[in-house]
Amino acid sequence: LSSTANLHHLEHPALLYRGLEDFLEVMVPDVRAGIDNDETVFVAARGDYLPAPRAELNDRAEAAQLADTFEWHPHPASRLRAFHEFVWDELESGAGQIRLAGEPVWQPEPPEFIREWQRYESALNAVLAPFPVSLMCLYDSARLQPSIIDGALRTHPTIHRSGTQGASDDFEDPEEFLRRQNPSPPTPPAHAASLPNVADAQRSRRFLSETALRAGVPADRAADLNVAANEVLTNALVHGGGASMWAWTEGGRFVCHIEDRGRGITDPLAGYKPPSEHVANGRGLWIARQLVDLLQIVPGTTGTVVRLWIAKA
Amino acid sequence: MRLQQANQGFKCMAIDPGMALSGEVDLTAWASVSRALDRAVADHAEGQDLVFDLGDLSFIDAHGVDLIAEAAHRLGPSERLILQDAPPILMRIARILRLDRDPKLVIRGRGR
Repeated sequence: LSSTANLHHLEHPALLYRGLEDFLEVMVPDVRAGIDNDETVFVAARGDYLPAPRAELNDRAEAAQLADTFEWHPHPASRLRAFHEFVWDELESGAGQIRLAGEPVWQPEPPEFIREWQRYESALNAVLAPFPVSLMCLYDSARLQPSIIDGALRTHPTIHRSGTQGASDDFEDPEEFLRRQNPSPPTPPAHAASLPNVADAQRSRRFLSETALRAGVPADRAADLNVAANEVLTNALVHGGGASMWAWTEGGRFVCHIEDRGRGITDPLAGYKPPSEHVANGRGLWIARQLVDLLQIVPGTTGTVVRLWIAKA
Repeated sequence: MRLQQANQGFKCMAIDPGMALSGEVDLTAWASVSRALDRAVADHAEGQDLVFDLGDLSFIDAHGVDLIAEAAHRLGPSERLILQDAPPILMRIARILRLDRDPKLVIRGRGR
């Protein structure tokens, strides 16, 4: 195993394509090559693009798995976990090489959610690094704004476009990228409900659960948010300093903002790295990321600001 | 303040053949949960599965779930820990941590 281990490491190119034809020109031969090499092949792309590669692959389409990216784990943290689990399970059942392709789900707003997909792209370089995986990320450069394409160049070591491929000169080390692409969120709005100087986790759960339910968050999502926020607050209470909590509604989403005065969470990959079976440390933030739509952790000079976002419907 | 504060909501009670956990498991309950789990593992009959009734458990945090999963791994080779009437949030956490694939743990939800 050790002699072949260094042959297998993550390849993580971005494909900058322009429309369906361009997409098919790369994807169909790529999927076919994967099938020919006896690799596990999985593609999450725009649902309206999938019938075409299926038709072109003809009777071989069944050897590859194709999913609609808007339905297959459409949030960054959950997609990261899904890819990791997919790879893990395939390797466990004997796969040698795994060929993946995935298209992020870009929404017009808010900027925090766009940034999180870029951060996810960067984190994947670290999370999938040890595995025999090629993951091609799909970017429609005819449709996407320039800042998103710029992000692709910074988060992928290689770039494929119009028949050419090469190393990206703009690629950044994931930890650096995650640190840099992490601006401090604004202070909570004046109308936010607040719970200053929380010393009692149970009281903070009552506060958050009542505020969320009153704001119209469905009960099961409010419960998810409550567990996620409790993990963040527990960190703050255990590591000293205490914390304050705010909660409000913003553009159809419910936001919980926690500020602590402790030494903070300094690992930029906190909550992105899947917990290993034998290490209990770090599971709380991994779970928290999975339970909400977005978890922002922004270390500052006097403490850490954490924001948890959840859709109201 | 903090860790010393008394837990307000967590209770455990011996039942046959195991234990019923109720209330809320957060950082204030970790120590009592840990002791209760030690006792349950030590007291249970050899060769038999250990059963926890979670029907009245209303909250559990990640570390609480970890403690339970660790207890399951202290059981004998043929023994398992059965979690009965687990709350939905425990099912979610177990799925996220892939504990639902742990052969030492059997997690049964509350159903409808």
